[in-house]
Amino acid sequence: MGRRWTGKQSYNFVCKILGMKHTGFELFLIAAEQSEKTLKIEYKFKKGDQLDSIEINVPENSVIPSVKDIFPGGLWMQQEIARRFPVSFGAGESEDQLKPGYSPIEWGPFHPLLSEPALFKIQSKDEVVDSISISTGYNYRGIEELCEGEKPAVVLEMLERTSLISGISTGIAFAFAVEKINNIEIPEKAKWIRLILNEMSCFKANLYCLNQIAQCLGLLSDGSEVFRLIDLFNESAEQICDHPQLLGITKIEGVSTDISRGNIYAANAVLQDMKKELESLKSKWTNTHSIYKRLETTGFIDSNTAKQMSGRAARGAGVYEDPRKYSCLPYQLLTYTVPTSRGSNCLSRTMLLIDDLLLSLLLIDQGVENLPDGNATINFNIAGSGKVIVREQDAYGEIVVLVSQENGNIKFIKTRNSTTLNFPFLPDVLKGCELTDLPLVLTSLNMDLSGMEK
Amino acid sequence: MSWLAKIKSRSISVLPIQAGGCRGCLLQFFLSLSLYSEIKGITVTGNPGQADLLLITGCINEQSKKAILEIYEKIPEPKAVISIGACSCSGSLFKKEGKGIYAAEDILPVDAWVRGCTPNPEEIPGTIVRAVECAYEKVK
Amino acid sequence: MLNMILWFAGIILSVFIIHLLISYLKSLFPGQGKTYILQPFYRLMKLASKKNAASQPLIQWFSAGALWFSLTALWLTVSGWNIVYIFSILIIAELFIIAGASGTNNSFGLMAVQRRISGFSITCFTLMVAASSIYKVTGTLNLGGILTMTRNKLLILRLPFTFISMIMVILVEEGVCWFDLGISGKSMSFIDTGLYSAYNGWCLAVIQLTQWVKTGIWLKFISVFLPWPQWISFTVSILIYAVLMVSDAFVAKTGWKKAVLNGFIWAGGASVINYIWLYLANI
Repeated sequence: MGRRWTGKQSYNFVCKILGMKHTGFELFLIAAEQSEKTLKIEYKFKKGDQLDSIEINVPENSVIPSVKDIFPGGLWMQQEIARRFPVSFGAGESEDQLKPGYSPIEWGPFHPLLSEPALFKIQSKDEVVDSISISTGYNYRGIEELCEGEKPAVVLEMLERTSLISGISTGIAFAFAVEKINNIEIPEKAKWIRLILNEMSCFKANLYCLNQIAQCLGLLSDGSEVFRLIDLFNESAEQICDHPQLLGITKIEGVSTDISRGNIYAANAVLQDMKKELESLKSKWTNTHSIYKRLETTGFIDSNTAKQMSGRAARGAGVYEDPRKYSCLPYQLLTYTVPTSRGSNCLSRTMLLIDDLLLSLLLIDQGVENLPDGNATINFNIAGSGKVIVREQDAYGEIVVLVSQENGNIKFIKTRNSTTLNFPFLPDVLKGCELTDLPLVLTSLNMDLSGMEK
Repeated sequence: MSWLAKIKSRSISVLPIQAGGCRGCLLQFFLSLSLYSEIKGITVTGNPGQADLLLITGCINEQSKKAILEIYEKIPEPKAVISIGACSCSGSLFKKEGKGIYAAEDILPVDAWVRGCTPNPEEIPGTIVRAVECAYEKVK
Repeated sequence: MLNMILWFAGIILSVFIIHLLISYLKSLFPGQGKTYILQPFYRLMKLASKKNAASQPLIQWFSAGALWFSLTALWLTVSGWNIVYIFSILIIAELFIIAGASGTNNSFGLMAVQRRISGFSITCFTLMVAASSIYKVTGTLNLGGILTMTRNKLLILRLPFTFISMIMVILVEEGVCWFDLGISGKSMSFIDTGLYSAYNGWCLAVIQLTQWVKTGIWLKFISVFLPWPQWISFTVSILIYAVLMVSDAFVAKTGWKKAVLNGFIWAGGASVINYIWLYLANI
């Protein structure tokens, strides 16, 4: 039986959270750390590049107020903590939205149209989703727990394998965090190579997403065309680092191999050639009435919900968001405009996806142009202690990595991606969707469950 | 290999399972079907009752283990299981004592493996066909 | 008798061969799964050798019953029986498939049942109106009798819309082009293999054969409208069928409810137009 906070403690805590909300801050990470019988929970907030936090220390088995009603996006992060540590959040656990009385259709956890495992229990009326409950946990590998006490190099290897979508970006963010803790200033060339890698990984992840959308639309030939682009990408990636997923190149203190300028130019030339094909795909989908209509009439998110979401779900509703501004990578030296669109439906998000692919190509090209000469790695002793938070751009939005290091070993790590913030909204967003459109809407919402569940 | 087993293994329905993992292996599988393979007749299904082969990628935790075993039971005999990628073949970096992470062969009788992180897509279709042929041979 | 046996075997064989060709042609399009020329045959062999994993024993009887009644309907078709009688036997075959799909706990199968019944109601309506039109022109409903009058009365000229409606019925039955109700499980979809989700192993092989036999019956119905010798008319109807099936790869899909509406408008509508025209023109 949990020990509830006293009314006064709860009141003070909720007031502080509300205060953050009213001053324009958004909740962007909840992390917990256990020491003996006490649990330290940190609520991190952001307002542009400004960060703030609220820390609470609670004894084991406490029940603390949930922030769900103030910041709905925090629900998943609370659940993560509640599953791992002896603490619970009042009324914060996921509520089964299914209505009693009629049995649901089960979809998943494994299905070819579901790129990641999750079990959907759907109650429908006339094949329109009436209520939906999503069970997760099939992706959980306990990466954060496995990282504790490990050397940074081992942690980096694990984080890169978290997800095809955000793995490389998480690895880069982690490397920057460790470097910050140890006061390492990596060479400029390494920063630019990391920027190119990050954009390349975003590009591949978005191509994969585009392929899935084509499959969901039944456009098999377009899907196969995107597969051809992914294959070309893999060849370019192998030219740079012998790995189609760009794994193993990021290293604390720089990058693992000094990539030749020639190889990078060659890879960039192959990638830039894809621009024409992506533009023609965009124009084909926009000008084909049946495709346009199907995308336009599905997956609508109301503007209030979209504003609270992150990544393309928010930008598809006209909300401007640019995580690259807060990155440790030299994005500020590049010229680009973050695309947004209106409509807040599958069409706006799909077109945004193609725009993001084109943006990545532009940034890769500029990155290659700006690539300086010199070393891409330095040797340094990683034995420091400290705690740092790093924000980075990934394919679907923002990735946040909180790293705490003690005497050269990782004490704890907490990561969250844009899916973590968007996932709590999913049941409401999917309500009213035609059952046959469910895979399409889900894909357009850019869910990276493996990066979320870890 | 009997002619009948060869004929039957020219139509293979694969049920791909993406357990906990980065999705890279599953992407390689779909790439292999779309671009690399000269081998024909491999289709993807989401229906265990109509599948011939279970293709497992990613690390398996307690929760997915239960779901995978249920699916395996629903696949009619003869059936084969193949494991693709380091996570599924050995648990990769994530399999540690007492952490509840399994490789495919810890929970099911695996017929073939395509190792590597990330696995080579060119090897996947051939491995699928050989695994199914072996399953038919076993029944004979 | 020999003639009937030859027609019976010939229809089954020709539908099988045309399916080999269609599946191979479709596989040549970009993005489609690569297949061998004999792919449908390999699939049938594989399914026939597999055990049925369904926990519900009745499904085996339903699948066998569906095949039996469809074969009976085919035999009556080649014997030149009354088309309404043949159609009622086809309804029994269809009901067996539907009963099998709805008897299991497969939720996708259950969803597909609603779609199949909607599709089948289009077929029933169209065929009943078509039968009335045919009777008005030929004075008989016996296929044998209709066949003898085809050339004398040039059915295709008197029943052009009925002919079109019969082609539409084939599209609805096969679930292709603008009439994809998601019942036949040709492409990967949310509802898996639609109506056939509940079937597996040899039961699925039997259902697949039933589907081919039914296609054969529809093609024979269509060939009745054509004025040439029977085997030429049947070959032409098979070619029309092949073209429509291949063209499915180029047609964007709609939702199933829209497909039902399309079906009623095109198949039912064409059939009704011809019926009204016959009365107005007093043919």
